Amino acid sequence: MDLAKYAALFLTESREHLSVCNQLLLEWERTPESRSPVGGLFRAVHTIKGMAATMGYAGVADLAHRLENLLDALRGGRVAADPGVFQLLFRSVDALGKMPTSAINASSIAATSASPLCCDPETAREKRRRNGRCGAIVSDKLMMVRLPL
Amino acid sequence: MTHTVLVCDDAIFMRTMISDILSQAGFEVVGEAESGLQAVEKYRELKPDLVTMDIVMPDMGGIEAVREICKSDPDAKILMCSAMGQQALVVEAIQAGAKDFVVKPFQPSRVLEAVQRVLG
Repeated sequence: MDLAKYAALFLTESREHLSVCNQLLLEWERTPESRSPVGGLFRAVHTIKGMAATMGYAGVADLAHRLENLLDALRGGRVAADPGVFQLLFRSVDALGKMPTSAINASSIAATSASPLCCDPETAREKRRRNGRCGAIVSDKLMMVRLPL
Repeated sequence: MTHTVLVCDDAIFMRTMISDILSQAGFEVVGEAESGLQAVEKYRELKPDLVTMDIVMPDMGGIEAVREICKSDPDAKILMCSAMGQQALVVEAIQAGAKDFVVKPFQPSRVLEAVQRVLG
């Protein structure tokens, strides 16, 4: 199947979903006790993941998958929606926003070093050692929600 | 005889791709739905031979839509389109009445094999 003809559609729809993500994150940050924005966020990220995986954009799909896991943990109350988590969510959505265009320019991109959610436990431990407590909190949350792909 | 299909997914991208795969294989895509609620309404209106159903959709999810469709038509032929990591939801969908499933990212040949299995 010639995937190139779907690239523009992927880009347009990804941008729409990322815009929804940003709106919902802002809304959620104002009322962190509310659970209603999480469902919409999860759906938007899930849709981006499915489209990216279909296009073969592994880096985008991987980051979206990790973000989806974090949102699932937040939805299930296994992770608290605190300022550190909001910072991580905004950074991840920003990273996702930059990735689709790059993904179209290069058929597959490596997200490992570029995205805030893509750090393995060993890297996280090293960052914790270097950066102190703030990095440790975020790294712990990521490891908690890390699931096999 | 040409089989008719209703394609349900909240992403235009996925609906376009699934419709292309099926149309190129000789199926007639008679409708599209972007939510579970629309899927139920369009199934009642169009009575397609086959439905492809996404799981995560707004308003009403795919599994609830399968339940609603099968309530009025237990013989409905519904193929679930799931993502990686949704095994538990796929089992729930099959229990709700779906006949088979394919996992994203799609290979056109896998989609067509699953469609043939569902149509018998």
